[in-house]
Amino acid sequence: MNPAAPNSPGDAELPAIKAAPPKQAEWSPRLTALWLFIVGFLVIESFLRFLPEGSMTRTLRHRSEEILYLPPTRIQFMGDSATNALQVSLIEKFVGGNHQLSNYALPGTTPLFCYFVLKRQIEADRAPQVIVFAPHPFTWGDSFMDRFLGRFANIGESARLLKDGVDLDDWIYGSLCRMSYTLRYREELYKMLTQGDMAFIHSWKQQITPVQNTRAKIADEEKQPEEPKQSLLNPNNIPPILSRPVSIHPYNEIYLDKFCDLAAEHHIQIIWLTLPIPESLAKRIPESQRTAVYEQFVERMRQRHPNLHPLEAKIHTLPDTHYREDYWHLNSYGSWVFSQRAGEQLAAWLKEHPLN
Amino acid sequence: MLFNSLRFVVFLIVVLAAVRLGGLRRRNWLLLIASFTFYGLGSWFYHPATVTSIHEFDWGRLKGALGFLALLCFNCGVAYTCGLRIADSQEAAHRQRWCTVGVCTSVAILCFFKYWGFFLNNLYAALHAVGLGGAHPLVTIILPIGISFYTFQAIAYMIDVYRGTTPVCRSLRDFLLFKGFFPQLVAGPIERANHLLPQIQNPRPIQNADILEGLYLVLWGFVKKCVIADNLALKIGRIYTQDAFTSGDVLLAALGFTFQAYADFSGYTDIARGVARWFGVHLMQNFNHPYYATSPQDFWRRWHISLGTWLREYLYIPLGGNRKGAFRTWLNLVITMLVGGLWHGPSWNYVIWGAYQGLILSLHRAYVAWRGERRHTHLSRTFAIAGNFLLTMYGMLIFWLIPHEDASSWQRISAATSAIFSFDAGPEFLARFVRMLPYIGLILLMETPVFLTKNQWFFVHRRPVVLAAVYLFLFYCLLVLGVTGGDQFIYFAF
Repeated sequence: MNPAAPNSPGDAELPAIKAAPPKQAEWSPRLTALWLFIVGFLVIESFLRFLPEGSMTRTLRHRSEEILYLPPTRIQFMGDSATNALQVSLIEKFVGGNHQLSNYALPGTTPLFCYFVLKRQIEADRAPQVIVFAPHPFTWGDSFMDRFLGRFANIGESARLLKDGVDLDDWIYGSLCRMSYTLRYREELYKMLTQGDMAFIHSWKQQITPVQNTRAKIADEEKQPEEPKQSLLNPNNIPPILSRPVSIHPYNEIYLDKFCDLAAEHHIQIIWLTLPIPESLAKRIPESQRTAVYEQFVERMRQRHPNLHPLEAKIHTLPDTHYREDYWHLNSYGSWVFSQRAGEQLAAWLKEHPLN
Repeated sequence: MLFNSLRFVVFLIVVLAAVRLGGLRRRNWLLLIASFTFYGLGSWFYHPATVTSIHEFDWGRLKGALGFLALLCFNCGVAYTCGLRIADSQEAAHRQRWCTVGVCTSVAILCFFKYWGFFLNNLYAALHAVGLGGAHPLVTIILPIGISFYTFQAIAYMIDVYRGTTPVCRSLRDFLLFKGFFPQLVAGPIERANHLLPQIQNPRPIQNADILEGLYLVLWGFVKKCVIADNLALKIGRIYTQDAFTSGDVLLAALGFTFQAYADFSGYTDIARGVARWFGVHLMQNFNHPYYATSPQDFWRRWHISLGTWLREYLYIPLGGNRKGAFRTWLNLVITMLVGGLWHGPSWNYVIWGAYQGLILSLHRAYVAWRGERRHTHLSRTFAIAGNFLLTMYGMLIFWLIPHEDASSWQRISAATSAIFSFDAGPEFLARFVRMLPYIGLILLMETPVFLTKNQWFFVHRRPVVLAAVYLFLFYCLLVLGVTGGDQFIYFAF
């Protein structure tokens, strides 16, 4: 008996693998639908180009121009949106009037951006003598390559990344973000459609984050803000990125190395300042996954780069209650408090390492 | 190399251009080179990095990738040689011997890579439990990607040649391409020689219908994977990490994973089928609306069809099928489904899942034998679909809870089962359910018309404007709602 033969009506009902290749499809269309699809996509993307860009993109593009015309300062802060809270006019009071300060922190960015910003500044002969590098400790886990390629990089910098050997997937995606509005804002559109978060639409009208430059007299007034009476933080609504252990994305390490090397070539000192995190976050992540990882990283970088001076490697905390407007950013009161602290630390460092 | 990666898109564009320029005569050579490059690159990325700097060359990964390629070549060599020997032998005993050698070698390789660690770990645990030997560190062997799929394909080929249901393939190039054709190499469908080989041996020009139908399959496949499966995975991921469940959690997890698993695996198959169509090859349909099945037996005719038919043809029927009485039929069903469960992975939990599937198939068979064959009315069909869907959901719940291969997963399965009867929806049940609905709704929107009309090209065989609109809808769903950096396909792990 042939063991392959179906042996019951039930078995015979099961789908059999056809013994011959399938016949040609009778449907024999032209490729009109394919061309219509491509044209439709191009039309939609061209139409979307008329929509306003989000505030982060406008800030990044505006900053590209500011780098080239704003007067250089001796001390320059760099980092992300959390760093932007540091008030240089207040800090200047601690370090002395002849040290002009600026804050070039860019919202939503990583060391990748810092390296290329410094490169552009050096090319424009507008480099500082000291950089205070103070990104949020939790931003090290992502490279934001798509943001860099899609919103900031020029063609030369894109080619440079490819030459540096970054992941092809990341590079292609970032480059496509440059070309397509939908891809550039897909995270924002995703949140809008799935969570009803309209922040993207609001960001069309939001002002760009201004640069602070005491030499160009662009800085906030250093008035003491009122201490808030209650916390705005909701412990049930902590962003996922802040609930994960601290990790260091390989690109961030690579481009921090490059950033430090470039600074060393031009005799620029880098001071590494660690921003505080809310107490409630610190409680959620075990010490071994937070401070230990971060401290080891800072120490590794310090050993590699003699021009890098960590002021404090430990991730310290500020109470949640009065210092924050959300889990990422300090509020105006927190900013005032922490700027004073940073000013004192910077002044102490400058006393030991006076600038020419 | 994952289908849902941009480097695959680049690879595909290069291969399509090469095949287009190379013409019909060189197509098989080009596809063969592309397939082995795909497998080599896939193995490279599959291996964990052994260096931390992107400036250092990763020799460890290269070694691993070459090892996987060598294993695939060896497996192909065994099946090719045994196929030739079987076909050329005049005596039945020789034919049987070569078939046995080929099948046993393939099974032995599969068992070593997939089950040897599992066997040793259980052996050490058992010895330790009875006081013989101390605690032993876990034995782990890296599983070569796609080994379960290409091994089953090789076994089916050798048995088919032995049975005389497929002619032997004498061209090594064509055979290697049959085994290694890249769209179906790493996660199926498990193609049979008499379906795929003739298409490789007689390549045909690529038609406009191949391009348009292929594009639909690829887009819909990507939407199923990146939009539906990955978003549902995010929605139910939080439940997975909970220590305790409510009925609402279990219902949401079961419902979410039931659709996630379908969207993930059928999404892969659709992408594979669509890509294959762009090279003029039809791969078999692996899913046929499984959640509209009216019984467990019907479900297995619609879910992972290539595995279901493989198990039926090469295991269930040789075991005796339903020829040896009711008890043997039930036993054969349970054995077949246990093997099907173990095929998914070396874990006692997959054994439980297989046993569950075997049990419900046997119970259904007993029920049909007791009640007799009856035609469904509209009402009874609706109830049958709903009842079978609930059974499927519970099976999927077991499958979802499986990834933890330790005692806690047993406890979790038991906790989840008892939570079903606590009748406590838990907080935010409705809100979480509503957040899942758009993704489930998208599947129903795209698949119900296809099911009702029994026309898989319902959305494709339309006027060009309508078809272009369908493409645009799917494409923008993918762009805006797709999860970037989503999980790998569930079936890559098998």
